[in-house]
Amino acid sequence: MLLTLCACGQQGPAAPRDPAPAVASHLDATARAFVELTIATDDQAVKLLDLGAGRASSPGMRAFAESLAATRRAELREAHAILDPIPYVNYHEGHDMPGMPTDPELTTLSAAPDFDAYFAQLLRAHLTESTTVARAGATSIKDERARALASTMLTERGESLHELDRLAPGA
Amino acid sequence: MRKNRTRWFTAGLAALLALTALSVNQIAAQAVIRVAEFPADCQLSHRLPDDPIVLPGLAGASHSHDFFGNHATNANSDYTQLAGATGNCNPAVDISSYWVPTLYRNNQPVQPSIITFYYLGEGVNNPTAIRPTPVGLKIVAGNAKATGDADSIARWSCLHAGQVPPSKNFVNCPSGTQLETYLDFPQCWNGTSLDSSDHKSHMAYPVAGNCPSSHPVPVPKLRMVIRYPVSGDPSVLRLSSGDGRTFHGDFFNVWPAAEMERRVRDCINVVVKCGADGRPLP
Repeated sequence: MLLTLCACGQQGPAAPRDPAPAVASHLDATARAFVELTIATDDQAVKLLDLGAGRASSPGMRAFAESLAATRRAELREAHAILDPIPYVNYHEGHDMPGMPTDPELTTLSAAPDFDAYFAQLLRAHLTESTTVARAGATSIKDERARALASTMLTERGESLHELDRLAPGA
Repeated sequence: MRKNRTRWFTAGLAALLALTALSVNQIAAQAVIRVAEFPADCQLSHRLPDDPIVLPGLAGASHSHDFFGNHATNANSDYTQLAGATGNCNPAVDISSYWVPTLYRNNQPVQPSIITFYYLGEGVNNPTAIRPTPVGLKIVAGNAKATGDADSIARWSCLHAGQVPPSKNFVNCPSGTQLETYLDFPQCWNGTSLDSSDHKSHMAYPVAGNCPSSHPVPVPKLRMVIRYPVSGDPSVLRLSSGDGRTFHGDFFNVWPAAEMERRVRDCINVVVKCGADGRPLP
């Protein structure tokens, strides 16, 4: 007992090693995780789509990429608004999360000999995998606004996949 | 006189017997191993791109995880669902859920060969103060976002090749040995919440052998030790979360309360090394 007390005295006021901001969440755990993952994924998707809008040789693909980049930016604004006032922390940085174009993939794309084909491949992966995530969110989220975002994303991913099929069949 | 002699003899014999009994007890007491520990030896149960702590309710939203112990763990797991399932650990009463990122060698998933979860009294100065891990407690350890050695607590080494220095990233294990990783979980609980919004702040590591006043309840320290049947060039290895330094682990406590309590009382508080059954090892 004495030893314990002495050790406490030496150590001074104890501080937790990882003092994370304790903002009470207005969102259910699924909604919050979904929104944070959507932001992390869309930040990477915007990089992919901006590359496509600038570099694709097919005018149709360039226009599609530009339009989808605008959709992702709007999605990001809505996701941040849902999260507010919880500060956004990227828990998924550097990870190969489903639907997330990674930095190494984007670097490879920049130097790809057949830009359009690899772009279509990465875009398809983004759309297909984020469909899975959006479907889970649309089913499990309790917060209405976050669930509505997931439902909108689910519909949009489906439509975008159809458009991609039309522009780059077989990619 | 003769009566007296008999009495002395009887007394002497009794004393001798008592001494013998005492020394037998002492030997028994010394025979236990003075390490506060009990283990659960588990197997790989399944793989899923799910994480019921970090991405609850979001099936398919995670990088790939290897799930050990409880067979039912998925994105939608909660305590009630897990408590109604079975697991693959020894002891069978431990139906807790444990998971780590999947290890890939040349992009092929590697199945771990030996999976042991140690519950330890080390890390705090006073093992008698350690309380049973509360039912339903969720704990995460490691940094899935680590970008270097400084922000990683991963530890990689080689089983049966102690000459290879441990590292925060993968190591090159000699042929015939196995790659292994150790991960220590925070062991100081805030005493109130089974989880927190960042999944970390309800737990803390001890400071100089004491739990901080913000997290005053010491619980057994969970140490994951996982062995993989791979050796050689580590450049062909990756985790689903990145390089070796991003190794992390998650734990969802589904031990029956009485089984956890007994082990903490008989193994941890009294500093005795126990087997998977929670009984002192000879």
